Amino acid sequence: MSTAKQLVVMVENRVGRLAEVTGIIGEAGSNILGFSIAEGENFGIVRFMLDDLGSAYRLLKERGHTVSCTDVLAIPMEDRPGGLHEVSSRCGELGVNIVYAYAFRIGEGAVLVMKVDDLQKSLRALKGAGFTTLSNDDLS
Amino acid sequence: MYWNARMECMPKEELRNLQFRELKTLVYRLYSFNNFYRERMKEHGVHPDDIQTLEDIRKLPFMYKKDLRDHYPTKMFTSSKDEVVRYHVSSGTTGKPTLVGYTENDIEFWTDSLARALTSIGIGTGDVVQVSYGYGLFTGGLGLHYGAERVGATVLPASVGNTERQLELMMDLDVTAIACTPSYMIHMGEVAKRLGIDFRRDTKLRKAILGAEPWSEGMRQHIEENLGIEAYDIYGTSELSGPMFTECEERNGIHVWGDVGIVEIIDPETEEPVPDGEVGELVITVLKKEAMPMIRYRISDLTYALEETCTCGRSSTRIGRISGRTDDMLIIRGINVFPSQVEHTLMNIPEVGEQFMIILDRKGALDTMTVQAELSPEHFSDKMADMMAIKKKIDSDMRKYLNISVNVELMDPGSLPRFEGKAKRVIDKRVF
Ligand SMILES: [Zn+2]
Repeated sequence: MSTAKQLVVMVENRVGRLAEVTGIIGEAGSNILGFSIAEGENFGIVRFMLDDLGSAYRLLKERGHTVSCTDVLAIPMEDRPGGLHEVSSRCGELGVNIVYAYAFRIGEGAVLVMKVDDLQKSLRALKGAGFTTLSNDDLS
Repeated sequence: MYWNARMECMPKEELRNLQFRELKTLVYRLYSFNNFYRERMKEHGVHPDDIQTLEDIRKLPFMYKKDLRDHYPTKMFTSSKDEVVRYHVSSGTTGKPTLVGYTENDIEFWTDSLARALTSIGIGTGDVVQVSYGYGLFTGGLGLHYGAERVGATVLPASVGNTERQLELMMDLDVTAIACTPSYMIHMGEVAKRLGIDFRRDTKLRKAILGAEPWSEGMRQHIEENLGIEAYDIYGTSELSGPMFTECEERNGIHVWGDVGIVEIIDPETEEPVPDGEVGELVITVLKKEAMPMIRYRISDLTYALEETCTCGRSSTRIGRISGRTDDMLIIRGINVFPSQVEHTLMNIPEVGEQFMIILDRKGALDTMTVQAELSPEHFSDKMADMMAIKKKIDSDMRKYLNISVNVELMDPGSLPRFEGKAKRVIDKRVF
């Protein structure tokens, strides 16, 4: 059982700004597995799940971007109807509060990335209920 | 029609003699009773006896807004606290406000000056005047209120806001004149249009007295054509008492009554007088003021003076429309804002960095102010709620300390321009 790290970037709402960020990630040789964008009024917060987080983080930082790495839970789910519902309803029952979440396909299955309140407690609860969580190594 | 024909139409030479006598009395009085000004004169090496002609006013030291701030609240008053009947307060550059005190006579001089002004634009008995300037610490509302009552008009103290109700009252009460900021006038016109109200058809409004923020001949034309009214420029600041002077019906400059004030226009750099009609910095000496006399006060407004007697018959010096400022003060919806206030407010919020920009624009008729502030990198969060909380904090602090609502944009650290030398933090997109 482990947590995963995601890359978070502040991106102003202007033309070409997101492309600049994704360009740098590509230049760093990192693949984007999944991402989500939270809309502010004049800026967005973009969270990326990458196969090589370290090199993207360093290059973005070097180019003057506002970046951070934060801990999330990555849970494998079956890529079939009701897959997401199963996970999210179990989270509700276990008292795991999801701040935000995003999902992406990987291989034959899918991965749900969740930012939760009280990471350790949530991790224990999910483990107790028989869930597995993935680390960055599992994903790359 | 004149309110005080003798004073308003006094021959130039006689008026100048009167000004000289009043000035000499004022300087003697201040030298005797006002520690601040006596010290200032001594430092400057000038004594009341040196004032031998009206031109000798140039020997006297200037007064600045800073002097009022430094002597906050009442250290510059020349009247005892018992004689002061009212205070007005305007916001300062770094949080410290400017306090103005008035004796009963000060209120009277102010009211009388506005009575002359309102008469000169044809407002009097039979008129209903809607005062849509803010009432309260700001001088606009109460000043116009007293002036309009004095000339026998009926006053509707509408203050600011609730435009639909203001329009309704304007129609129901047959309002003939309004006093407000030019942008509020335009805003009212737009709201009226949306409600299907035609100013020409549905109201009795014929005159507007507009001021407290910069405007232009273009805006005047726009307002007059759209609303079918005549628009007049009004001038004054709280240090002079408040709005005091307006254009007359000739609309060729604002009459600054000679027995009330002496106008000088100087080159802000050399401090030497500039010729008649040339733009420079306005310096005003208020001859009639008891609680807080102002001698050679540098308001930081740029304008020009016209000395020749107006075609209306009034002999006072006229000043032109204010065309700018010598400092960086911004006027947004009638509220004075200094970039230094914005900076000061942001500096006290740990979640933002040092860089900021101010963007002024006009949305319809209303001025908008956007403050762009860089996030401090260590406060970057992946949760939007955290980021929004920072924005909200900036927003509420601006409202608290600047008394104005602004749009806040949280910027990526490092994304705002850096300046070498003098920072240009203001982008003004408004068209006046
Ligand atoms: Zn005139």
